[in-house]
Amino acid sequence: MNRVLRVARIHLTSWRGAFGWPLSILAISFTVNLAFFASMGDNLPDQPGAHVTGGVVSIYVVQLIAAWQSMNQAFSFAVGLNVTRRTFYAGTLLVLAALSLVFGLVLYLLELVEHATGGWGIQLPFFDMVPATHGNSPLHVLVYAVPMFMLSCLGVFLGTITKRWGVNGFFAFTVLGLVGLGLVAILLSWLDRWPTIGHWLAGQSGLALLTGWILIPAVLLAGGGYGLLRRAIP
Amino acid sequence: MNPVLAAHHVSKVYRHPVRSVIGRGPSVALDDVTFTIADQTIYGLLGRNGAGKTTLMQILTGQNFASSGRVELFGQSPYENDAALANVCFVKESQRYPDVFTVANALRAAALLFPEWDNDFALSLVEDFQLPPRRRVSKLSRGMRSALGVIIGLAARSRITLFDEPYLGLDAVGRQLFYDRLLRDYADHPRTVILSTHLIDEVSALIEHVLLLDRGRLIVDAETESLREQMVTVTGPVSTVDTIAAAHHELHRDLLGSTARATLRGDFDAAGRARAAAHGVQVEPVSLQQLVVRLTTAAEPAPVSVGAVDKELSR
Repeated sequence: MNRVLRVARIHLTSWRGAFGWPLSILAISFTVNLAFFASMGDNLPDQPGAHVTGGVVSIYVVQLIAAWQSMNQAFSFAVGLNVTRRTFYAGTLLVLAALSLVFGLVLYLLELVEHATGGWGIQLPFFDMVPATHGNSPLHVLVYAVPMFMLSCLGVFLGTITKRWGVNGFFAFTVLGLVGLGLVAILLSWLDRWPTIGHWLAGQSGLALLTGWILIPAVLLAGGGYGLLRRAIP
Repeated sequence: MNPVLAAHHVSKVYRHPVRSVIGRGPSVALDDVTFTIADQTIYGLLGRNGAGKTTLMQILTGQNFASSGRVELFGQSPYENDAALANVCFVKESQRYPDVFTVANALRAAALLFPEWDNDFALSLVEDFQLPPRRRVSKLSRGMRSALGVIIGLAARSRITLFDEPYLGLDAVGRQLFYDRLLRDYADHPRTVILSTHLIDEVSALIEHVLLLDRGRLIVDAETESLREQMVTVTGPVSTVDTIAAAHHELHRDLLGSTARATLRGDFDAAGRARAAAHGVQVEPVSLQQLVVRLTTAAEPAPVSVGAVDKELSR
């Protein structure tokens, strides 16, 4: 068996870590939302769209943190036992992509149940939360999965920064990143380009944005992370 | 015999970006270290805390980076070299395990990484060391964590196994178990072992070859036996000891009234020993631990060139 696949299997050695935590956090978030909206039922207007919850984001946050942690704990473990950085990185991205697809499928199936039960009986759109992509197409698996993979790549990138330069390096990078984004925003305002960007965004379908364009930052983050990891010490 | 591992003029210098601005010089972790490691031999990598042992082992396995010089692992560079590194197991005292891992998880993961992994051997070692397989690694005591590392290092049966302080916190029984299992398995499955440790007396019967690091420099690269023969303590009247010491290199002396006890480095053949005995001077071998202590605390700066001690000893 290929060494990349072996690294991938190491990530899945603990089922509790790979599947248990993300799914139980999602379950808790869902239960809390369901209980909250059910108890509020009579006090909220009945028309669709009145119930808004971002609870499904919880599993995305869990995956971001898991990816971040993997560059610290799993990296130190595997590279400490003489896996090369390249092999480790490939195996890690493979697992993160596979987990994104699995969780995307789970979210899609739950979305189908949600539609079939009229929003869990209380018109609660917990899973189907992206208005631009309403509908039951199986492509929704990707609508859930690709953004999750992008966040996983962000987690990997931030994890690598933390591995190389510690928490101080991470904060310094965050400050620099925010200042950089702020400068870009100021520049765009100064050049009066926001309407152009708005038009472009409006011209793209939700599907194209969430499954296509979002891959660009994912690839940039994954590539940048690898460049930094090549000199990391377990 | 072909070397399986070699270091050529390896140096490691840490330059602190802030300190170098305020005039503090770079700190040297390894200084021009050169040696070769032969196949199927047990090496002891000895030295004080901060002598550079861990850094050297990390550089040998491509986990850390030399500032200059190069390393050859099976004749190739170890950096990002999966084919070569798959035959190497490096167990360090500070080895980290993912927080969610149980002992069983860690062993299953290790089994995936080492081509020669012997699972039955691993399970028997888990029983020997009385490790709870279902307990999380993060909840293990210091000694149990060390035992886990030892089990991985032994069961991996890698062609080269590096143990860096493998048994911190392990009790005497556990350490004896490690020596026993290592020797027994080494007899059945010969391989190269590099063992760094502070418990020199305990391993002195185990190691066949000594590499001694002192402040980043390799000051001894010699077979354990020849090293032992070339260092003695002589005990007797001060004047007689003075005469003998004059012909050798004196490393250390204790005075007890009119009796002196000196640690000497040099050639001591049977005739010399007989002459000394005739003058009422007792000549005794020095333990490996004493030898390391004397060499690394010697007042004069340690020899610069690699193997200098070795050459001086064999004069």
